[in-house]
Amino acid sequence: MSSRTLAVPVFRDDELSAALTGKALVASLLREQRKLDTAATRFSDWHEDGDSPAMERHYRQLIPTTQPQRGEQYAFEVKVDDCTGCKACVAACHSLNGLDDEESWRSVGALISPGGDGYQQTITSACHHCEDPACANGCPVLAYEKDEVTGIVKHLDDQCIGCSYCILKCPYDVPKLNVRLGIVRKCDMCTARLAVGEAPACVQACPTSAIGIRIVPRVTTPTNSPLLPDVIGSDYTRPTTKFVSTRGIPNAARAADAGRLQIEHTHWPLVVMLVFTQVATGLFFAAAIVQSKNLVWTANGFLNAGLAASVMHLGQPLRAWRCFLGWRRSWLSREILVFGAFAASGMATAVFGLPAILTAIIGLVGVACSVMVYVDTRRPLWNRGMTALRFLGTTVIAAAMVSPYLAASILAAKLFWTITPWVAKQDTHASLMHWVALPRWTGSYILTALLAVVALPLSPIIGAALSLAAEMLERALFFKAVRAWRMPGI
Amino acid sequence: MLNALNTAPFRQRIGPMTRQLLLEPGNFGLGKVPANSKPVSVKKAICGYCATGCGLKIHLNAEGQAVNLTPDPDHPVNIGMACPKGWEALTPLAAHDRATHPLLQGRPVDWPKALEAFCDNFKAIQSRHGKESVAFLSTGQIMVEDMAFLGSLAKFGMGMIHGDGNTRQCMATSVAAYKQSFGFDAPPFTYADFEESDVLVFIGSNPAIAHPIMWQRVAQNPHSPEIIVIDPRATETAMAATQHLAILPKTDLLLLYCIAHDLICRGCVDSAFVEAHTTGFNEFADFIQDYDPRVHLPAIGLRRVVFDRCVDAIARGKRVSMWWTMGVNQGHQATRTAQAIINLCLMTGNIGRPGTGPNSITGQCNAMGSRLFSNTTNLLGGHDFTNAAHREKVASALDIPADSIPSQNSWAYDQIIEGIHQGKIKGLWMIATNAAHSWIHQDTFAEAAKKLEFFVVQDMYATTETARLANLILPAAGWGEKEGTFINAERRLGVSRKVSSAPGQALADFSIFRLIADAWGCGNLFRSWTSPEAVFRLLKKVSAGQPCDITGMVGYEMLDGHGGLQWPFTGSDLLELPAKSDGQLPSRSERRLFADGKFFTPDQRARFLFEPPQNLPEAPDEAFQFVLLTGRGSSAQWHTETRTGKSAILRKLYPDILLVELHPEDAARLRIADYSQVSVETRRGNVRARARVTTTIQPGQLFLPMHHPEVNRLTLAVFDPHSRQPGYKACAATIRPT
Repeated sequence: MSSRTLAVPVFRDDELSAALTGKALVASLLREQRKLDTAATRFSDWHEDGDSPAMERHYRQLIPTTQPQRGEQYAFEVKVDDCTGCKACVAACHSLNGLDDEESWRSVGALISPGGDGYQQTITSACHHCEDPACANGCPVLAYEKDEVTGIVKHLDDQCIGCSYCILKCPYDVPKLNVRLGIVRKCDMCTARLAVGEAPACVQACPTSAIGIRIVPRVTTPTNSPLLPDVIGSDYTRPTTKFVSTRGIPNAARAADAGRLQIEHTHWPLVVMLVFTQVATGLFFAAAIVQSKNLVWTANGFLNAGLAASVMHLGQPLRAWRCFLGWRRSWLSREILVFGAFAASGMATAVFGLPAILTAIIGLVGVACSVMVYVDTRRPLWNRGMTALRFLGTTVIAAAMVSPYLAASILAAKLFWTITPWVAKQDTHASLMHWVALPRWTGSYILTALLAVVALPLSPIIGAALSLAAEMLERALFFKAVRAWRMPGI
Repeated sequence: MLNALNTAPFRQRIGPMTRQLLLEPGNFGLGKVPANSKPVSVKKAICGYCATGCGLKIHLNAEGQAVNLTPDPDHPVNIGMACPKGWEALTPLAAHDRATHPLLQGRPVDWPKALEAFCDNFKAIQSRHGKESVAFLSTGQIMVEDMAFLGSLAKFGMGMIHGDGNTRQCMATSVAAYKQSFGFDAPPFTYADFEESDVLVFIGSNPAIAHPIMWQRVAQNPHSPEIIVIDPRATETAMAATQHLAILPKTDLLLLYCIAHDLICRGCVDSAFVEAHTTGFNEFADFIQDYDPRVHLPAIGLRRVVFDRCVDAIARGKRVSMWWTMGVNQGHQATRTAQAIINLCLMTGNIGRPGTGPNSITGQCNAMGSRLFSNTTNLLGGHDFTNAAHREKVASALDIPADSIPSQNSWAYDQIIEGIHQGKIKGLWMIATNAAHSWIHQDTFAEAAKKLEFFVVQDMYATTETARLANLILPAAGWGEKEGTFINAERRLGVSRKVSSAPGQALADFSIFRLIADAWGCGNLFRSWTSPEAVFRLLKKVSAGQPCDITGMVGYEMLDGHGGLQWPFTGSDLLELPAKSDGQLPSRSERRLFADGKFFTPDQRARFLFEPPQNLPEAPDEAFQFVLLTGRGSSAQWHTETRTGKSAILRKLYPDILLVELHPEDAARLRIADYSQVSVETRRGNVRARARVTTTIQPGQLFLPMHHPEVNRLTLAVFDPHSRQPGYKACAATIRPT
């Protein structure tokens, strides 16, 4: 039997199909198409177990052979002149780190020149592993660590609550929200590779060796000069990446996308949270003034709805109990702690008759923390004056609801101050955002606020509802119209 | 207490999410790889995008399915590097809009039904209007064996006369230029020439982003070379060059003649080489007297000092190489422009030596395969349809009757489209190309498609602009889902393997051709065409004695083992092949042509060919004041983006909206702000875009990337008379704010 089996020649499918026609051929070819070759017999299969990385000869010179000493750290070095725009670093980071579809820790942009000789320069950048990392400073749960030896700013993925505050804090647009996981992830300079003498993905993949890892002294004196044109001054976070160019970057150079009016994320849960907590604070003041139990309950309603909304903003709410950890440096952590107290105090006022003014003052401290949460990002539109005016404005309008005429006047004044460019002393960008990029939103805010002003004396309830809508629109604009600091884009 | 706060449960340093990004040693020389896609084995494949021909290592799981890839460190072409398209080569295979069933008039049908519709309709058209009333338009993206099968099936089996490929849009000029000048379509270079030159001249070529891995070789040149870029735009390559000659659009031919004039005046002619190996130099020297740079530089838009510096470098150079791409190939006098480059190399003796040559950088991964084996312009193997001896030879190699081979040449792409408009072509079969997007003045194609009685599109996606016009869509497997060879720009044949299963009923093009041969009733002619490698063996026979002789290439495994091999490669080359030393880079068996000064013309001499430059076919005027240029947008975009558009990573690498480049002076004059909405209009149509105000473009010029579907509504259908390649690079346009 066995000898007979052996005598049958083994045909490949395609040889077998040579004799087939019609439907039998279709079936045979479909079968062949589905079959993947798993036999490890071909030369191209090329098994070599446990060997050293073949790319090592390429990147040997591009990474340090020693660990940083005390007072030093690892840093990216980009030889700008050698970066000729292939952008392989972005794709390699994605593939070699097993990231999700859109994820890459490296991004590319360009500088161009609006005058002088023809000029363009591709800019590749990843995390700058800052000396004073804004992401870490803002994180309410301490999900960032700056490694003491390497200086690498690492993100603790299992610690992260997905609040996205680091995204607002980082002026280089480095941390990225992963919606699938509900957390932020970022570049760790391929720590695991460096630890065994392998180069980070981007370094391995650069055909012109433009990216390297160097040991640099930890920055001691902050410099205000930015890494590149149209980038934030380096004194904010003290980035460590070095962009080196012997050719030099022309003075006129600017980010290729500098003219783009980028509408930023609206963060609706935060819009609701901010407006509602600020309204609640105002209502507690009002309740203290008119001694109204109903107002206390209304205030509590707004407060708890606002805080509930804020939880919707989190990608990993179950981890949020750790939010007190960051209180030393993070305004967000402080805001959460104070609002926690605010909620408790609000309940105490309603149930046990704790004086409303005490609760209102706690609320006011919380609103102040909210203001600082945004001021601390150094985004131009979110400067201290304007943010305070907007946030406290909401509180004052709510408090003024005891007198519709007063509320209407304050609402009108706030509208005037917020949206009129020469009064608000806005940067050109914010004006362009309001009037060119977001004319419908701006128009809706103005219209709703004006309607509220008219309605308040006629029907306080309708007026109050319109006022609330106006404040929500104002806050949506606050998020949409802000200029987020970034590296040059494409 | 503080320490406690620094550990779990307060600080979670490890957990399921952290583990998602865990890296582990990948083996196979890979270094660390993502643990969740750690390979069980690896397989090599040649990238299926551009003509660089990078080697990729495909990471496979236990089922043999690709899970990741990395560039092959041991491949002699790319030495461990790839551009983003290569890194993302697997992503488009998983796109949700893959064609998974044949679609007849938009409805899914099974293969037998589709084949019946294919044959019935085309046969009916042929019986009514003659055999040549059905034509095919193919591609530079499928494998050599696929192309050979398609061309042979269509012409030998189905009786078609007319078939062409999208290579007409990118490489036809180089083909025509080399054929006329050298006697055969023979790009003479090898990539080592990038590293060996002391002067490199790039004409209408932007390798930094169009061929980044070739540019890598330039960057590795150890001779501190002079790099001269001739291009109207300050491209990425121009930025990295030592000299940039920002000429006015389509003054390249004039400039090249002026350079020749100056070199002759300076006595830089290599008379010994010219006398021994060329014909026509004296006539050329006479002709060139009219091209005194002092007269013509204003028309070219160059200052004398810039011009002189360039000629100085060429005159001084010991190993001067000249490289051209689409800026030259897509012009109204493209062939003569390419030959003006060839002339410069011939007269200065910069050919046949390391670091020299008039070198055309090809576009598509298998443009070079198409040039030799697609059976369109040439009979298989670079033969001539009109030559009876060639027909006999090919017929005998393929074991088919010689009278099944047509004795007349095919129409070119534009003539086929024109033939549709004139009612001479009634049925069209289009394979792996997207004419409704890419064809110059694209409306002419859409209108033509409506006039067809039956239009078949064979593609990976049923969603391309062209597939949407088809009566029948045949779902094709893509790169990585089939096997075969590509020929890269330096004439290197390499194998690409099947590493992923195709979705649904999609079949390899090769299998589709087998099914059609069977259904058409000509299966008997192709009874030995059972696998790509079987066809490879047939093509070896066909190539015997041709300049592109590959008879010494044993088979796929041999090609794999050497990182591909360059033609010609005969049996005697096989004996001389240096062995690959273990663990080292493969022996760089670089092969360049014409070291002996013998060309493929009957008298073995290269020809000087030239013609006076003509003005732009559509020069700017009062109504359309700008010259509109089109070209590649970024390294992450491939042509009509049917594949690259499927990768979220690649989409991050170029602007998500159409940007038209405009000089700041023009922007100020027309009150167009950076990034503001504009309308760009030509006599053929208009598109909306946003302005990118930049000095990379000169005043009076506009640039649009070709990847956006609407851009070719604007382009002017002009063709080089020798190559019939469309001239995408210049037409009159206007821009206004909207």
